[in-house]
Amino acid sequence: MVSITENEFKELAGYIKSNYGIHLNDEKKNLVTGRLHNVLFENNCGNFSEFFDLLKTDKSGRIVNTLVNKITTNYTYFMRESDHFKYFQDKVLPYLKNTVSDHDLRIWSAGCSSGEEPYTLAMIIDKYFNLERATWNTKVLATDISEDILIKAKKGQYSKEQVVSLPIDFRMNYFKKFDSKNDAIIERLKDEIIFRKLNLMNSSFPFKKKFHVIFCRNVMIYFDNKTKMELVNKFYEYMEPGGTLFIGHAESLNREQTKFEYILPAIYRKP
Amino acid sequence: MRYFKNLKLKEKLFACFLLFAAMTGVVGLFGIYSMYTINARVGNMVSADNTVNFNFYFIIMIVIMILGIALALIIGSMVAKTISQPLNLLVASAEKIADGDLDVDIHITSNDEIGALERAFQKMTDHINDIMTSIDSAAIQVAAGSKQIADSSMGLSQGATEQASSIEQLTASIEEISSHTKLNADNAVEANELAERTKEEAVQGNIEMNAMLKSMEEINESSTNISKIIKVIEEIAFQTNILALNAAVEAARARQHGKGFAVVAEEVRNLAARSADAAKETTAMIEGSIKKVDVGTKIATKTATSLNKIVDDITKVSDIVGNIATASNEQAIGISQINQGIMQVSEVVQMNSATSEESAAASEELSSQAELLREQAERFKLKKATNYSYSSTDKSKLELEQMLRDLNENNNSNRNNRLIQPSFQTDETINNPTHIFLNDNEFGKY
Repeated sequence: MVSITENEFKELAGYIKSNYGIHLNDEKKNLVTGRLHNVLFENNCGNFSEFFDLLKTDKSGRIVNTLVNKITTNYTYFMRESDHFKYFQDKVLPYLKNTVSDHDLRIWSAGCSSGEEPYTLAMIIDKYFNLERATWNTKVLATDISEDILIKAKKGQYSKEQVVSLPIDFRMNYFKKFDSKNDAIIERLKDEIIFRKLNLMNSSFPFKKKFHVIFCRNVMIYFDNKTKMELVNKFYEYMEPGGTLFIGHAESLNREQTKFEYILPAIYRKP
Repeated sequence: MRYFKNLKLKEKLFACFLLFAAMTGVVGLFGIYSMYTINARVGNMVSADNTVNFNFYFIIMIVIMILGIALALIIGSMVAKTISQPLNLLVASAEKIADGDLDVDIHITSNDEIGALERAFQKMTDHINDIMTSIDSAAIQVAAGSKQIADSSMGLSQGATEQASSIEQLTASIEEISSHTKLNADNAVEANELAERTKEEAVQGNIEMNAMLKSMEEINESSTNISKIIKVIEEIAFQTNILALNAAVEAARARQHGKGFAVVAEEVRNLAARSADAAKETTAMIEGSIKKVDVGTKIATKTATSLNKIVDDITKVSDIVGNIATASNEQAIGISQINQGIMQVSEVVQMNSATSEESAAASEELSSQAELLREQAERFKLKKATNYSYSSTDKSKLELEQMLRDLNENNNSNRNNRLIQPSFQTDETINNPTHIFLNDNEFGKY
């Protein structure tokens, strides 16, 4: 395997952090070499310096994309941290139903990975609005920085083992058989989600309207505190008053550094 | 009134007693004045003796009054002191607690309301101390525990990443092998076809060689026939020669008239001689060609044998190459199965890698939060445990501290020893490293 020198690692980690926010400390050297050695091989780079040069000179964005695909960790599953979905269904949706007068619900799954989270949200919304579906626009925005994982998310194919954690009615209503081992999300539900590529490190987001709900769970665990707080402040800025922010259960916001109000573990509201 | 409110307790009390003393003074002065006026009115009637008596009482009264005022002031300041001093101490303690220093000693000075306040204060600080000590130790434990989790999940993540990359390499190698095997199989099939074709061609060559042998035999036969014919020609030439001689003799006899005939006979003789020569040459040539045909036949026979052998060998080669093709195909199938298996393993490993990376990141986040909690808890300066839970004497306190210190030192020395000695060695075995006690210490009823 190609090894990485101290300087090469520092340079690459600095580049990744300043552009994509992912914080790689020295302990992640193995991760970087392990995940990238094949990329180096495929691009005929003998060492990481050559790769870094290639990265900087590549104008097509192919190398950068590959780097991002490799360096991001895409781990998720259906109903992960299910308390949030329960709160979303029992508290957030009724509140929004009563307060959103233009019937345009804006929910954002930031860092959607392979799509389990936005699909689950779409299922909950669909079930909740049921017959009133037609009068509401509830399309969920799902973004991630990794192109590969977005392609996977758009396909919406999941193995039977992955799907099994969903409630039975969800499995019945929103999935169809794909092959002997996999099920696929039905087209109607797929249409309820807008998958887009977005780097959360952008200084501003290209959104016209503010969000009612933002899910950004287990994304900021890869960021350092400063990056995290900057992102949280951006979320605050792009959130409607009364909007809810969901973060991962392992994360928490420092009450002195944010204007978000604490509601429940990993759930915050913009006052 | 507002001014009075802003005064300190001590000053208020002092002011009260001062007021009291002043009032006493005023009352006293009023008494003296009234006594004086009564005395003056009555004085004319009474003797000088009375005046002396009056002066004496007057002085005593003044003294008592001054003493009274002084006493009032002294008692006043004392009372003020007994109230404000413990309160000041409590204020200082409260200030300390407010600054996060819970290591405060509160002495109960009296049994009055202030004493009750002190007791309540003591109870409060003890309880807060108790709670904060628990929180502190829990925070330390949580921080240590989550650090450990973070470390181990980091290790796990590293391992999984390495696994994933190894598997990736393995997959690449196997794919390479797979493609090579496929190439081998294809080549073997092609070689088999070629061998088959070569075999057919060799068989064809053999057939043609046999045909050639036959043709050569026929050539031989024809040569023999030609030989015979040439012999006939030779005989004819010989006889023609004799006939020419006879003709020459006859021409000589006819002398003048036979002259022309003699020329003809001579020409015929010459022709006969040339025929004989040609026949001889032809015979030699035919003999040569018969010899050559013999040699050719031998060579052709050898070639035929070789061709036969080639056919045999090429048949074998074809069989072997066929086997190789079959084996390669089976190999290719096997390798594709291995590849599939490895792919599945790879998927799982990739998943594991992502899982462990995620949990590493999450536990790191947790760990940093636990650290934060610990730092927050550390901001409180706590009373040493056991100080307040039971009334310990200074002696026992000292003993306890000494004990703790000893324990600490022991731990340190143990840790140092561990660095040098294998971990299973206890203090006991350090002095005697070859002998390791594996016995239990306790054997129940035996």
